[in-house]
Amino acid sequence: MRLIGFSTGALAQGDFGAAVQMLLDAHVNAIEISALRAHELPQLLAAAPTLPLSTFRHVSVHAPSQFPSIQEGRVIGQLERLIDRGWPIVVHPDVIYSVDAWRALGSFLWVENMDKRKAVGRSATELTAIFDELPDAGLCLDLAHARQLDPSMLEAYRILREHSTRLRQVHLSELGSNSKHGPLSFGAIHDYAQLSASIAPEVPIILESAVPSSAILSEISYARDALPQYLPVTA
Amino acid sequence: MRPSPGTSFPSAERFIRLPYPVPSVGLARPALANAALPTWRNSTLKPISPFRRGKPPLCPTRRRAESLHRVWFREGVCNRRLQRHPGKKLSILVRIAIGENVRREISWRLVTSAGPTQEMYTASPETPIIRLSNSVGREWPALERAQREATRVKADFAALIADGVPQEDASVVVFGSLARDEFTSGSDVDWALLIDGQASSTHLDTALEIERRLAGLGRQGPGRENTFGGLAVSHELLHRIGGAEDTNRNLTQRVLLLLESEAIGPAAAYQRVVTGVLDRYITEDPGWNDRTVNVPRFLLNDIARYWRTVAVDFAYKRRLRGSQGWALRTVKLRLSRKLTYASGLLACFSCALIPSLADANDRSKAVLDHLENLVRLTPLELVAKVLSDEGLYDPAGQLFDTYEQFLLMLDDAATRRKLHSLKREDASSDDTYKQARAISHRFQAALNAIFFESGPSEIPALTKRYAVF
Repeated sequence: MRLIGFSTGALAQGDFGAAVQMLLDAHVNAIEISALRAHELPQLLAAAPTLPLSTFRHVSVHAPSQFPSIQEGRVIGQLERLIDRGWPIVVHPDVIYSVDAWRALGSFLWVENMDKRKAVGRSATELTAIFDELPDAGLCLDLAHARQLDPSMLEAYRILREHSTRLRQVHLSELGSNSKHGPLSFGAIHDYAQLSASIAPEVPIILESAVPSSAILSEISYARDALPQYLPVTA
Repeated sequence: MRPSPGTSFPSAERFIRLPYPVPSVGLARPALANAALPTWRNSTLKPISPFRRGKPPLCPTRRRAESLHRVWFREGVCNRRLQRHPGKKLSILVRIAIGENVRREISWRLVTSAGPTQEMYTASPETPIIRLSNSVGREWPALERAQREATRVKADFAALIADGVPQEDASVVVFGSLARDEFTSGSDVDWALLIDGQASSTHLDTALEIERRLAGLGRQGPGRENTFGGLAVSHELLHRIGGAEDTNRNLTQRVLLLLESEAIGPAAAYQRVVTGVLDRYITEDPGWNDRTVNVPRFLLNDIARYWRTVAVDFAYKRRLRGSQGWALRTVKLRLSRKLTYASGLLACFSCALIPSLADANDRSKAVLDHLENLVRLTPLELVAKVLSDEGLYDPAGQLFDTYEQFLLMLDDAATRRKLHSLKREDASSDDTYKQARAISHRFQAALNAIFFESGPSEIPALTKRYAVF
């Protein structure tokens, strides 16, 4: 059974506790805890020992997506404390100011491919340059970002072709022209399904669709349509 | 924007293609507008090749560097030294990659006093044409001149429209001889503003401004049929393939977008549309996806339809305009237009000539990747590459020899004027026209050898199976 869950930031922005409860109520088996804003990271650190996460079979953390370089050392230090819990960290490459410092996170560091607003880490080629500097890092493939860059999904195909061995997690959502994550559309489901054979069933899926709690299960159902549990049998 | 990490040099990289020399393209890189040509004899250059540290660089001489007709940029990458010492010096890392199969990587650091940048230049010393030229032991100076002139005009054009085109949602796209890198005296600048984003009434204002600036540059605009110039909208190109709404103009723009076009300036919209159009042809080709055929027939049929449309339109123009420009149009039809068609055929046939494509698990994405790389080449480069890969050096050499003669004729203003003003009834006795016709016959003979004569290549068999019905 493929692990499919939600990012807490998609369900309750800035309130990961509420989002955790929503996912517990829906009996979801995977979660990514968002600390997208730098001030949320200390809050997460404080709450981590008491968060009811034991029923989740996959837990990851999304690092802050924006902070000044002067805070980089402190942020990495905080993330290392989360790694001590066995939680991998998803990071945007444009906040990697000092590669050496991030290299210390080893295989617990998962780099996410970026959308068109960013200047780095968008394509297979740009990710290659990043992974050359962070050889132990994994990949969190954001299919919505890749689709925004190239709706034919060719760039996503190239990313998977070049970096499939690093694939640790997939982000799934619909990305509008305003670069905001929304619920999956039929078009997105169709496009993502083209790559389902290239994504191993053990890779967890984290939905970033901004939906109400009442739509969690239906959105997970759409995610299953996009990336079925089993690899299709080829003739 | 901030520099991305990493200074390693992966092979076979793809770069955003911009004209050469470097114009300003509207982002925070004003210094690049006057950047010196990268040459290893330039004292400001310090070769830092990871593969040849301490040894003289393998880069060609300045003359050859200046003859390079493409300069590739890679956005968002900066070298390690710039990261460690931000703002201390401008370092533009210039990498020389050779063709698609990188055999040598030579890195240059061009040191100037300008502000920070995140671009790298790469140039490709051995394009498919140069590779063919080396293989057959011949040179084509008229072609080389036309390439240099095309590069210069594209740079001028890019400088004209710098900062004026929306970065993500639109691209200025050139077609015709400028995109084919065959720019001669008297060549037009065929262009369109390709929109791939939210609709806005200001798009037309942008197109009109581009037209006005181009006129100020003293360049001829699009042809009388106005197939180019003005706006082209991605939705029309991508959604209207076939059917009553696929007009002559739409078909021509779409096929030439694939076979002979290039973005000037921001290329994100252009690349999305090219890939999107190819994706339609491939994903909706049941024969290819079901593995029953090894050539993408949907694409092949539309390319063939384009060629027949051009040929029929030739008759239409002959009727409409009589003798006016007839001889020049005839010569172009027999050579440059036919070359574009031939390159499209070879692009489709190449899918059958590469076993890994046929055997790929995800055939549609594998061939999409292959074609997307292939259509970045000009028609001549594409023909040179496929024929070299197939070992068809003799007919390829003949093809290029005759095309060289064609370009020589076109580049001669007097000859061009003569052909433009020649009446049909005078053609059979006119030496200039007879010479041009002889060139076109030799060109056709080379194409016959490539597409019809049996030999080690599968191209004639593919022609027989796919190109007629």
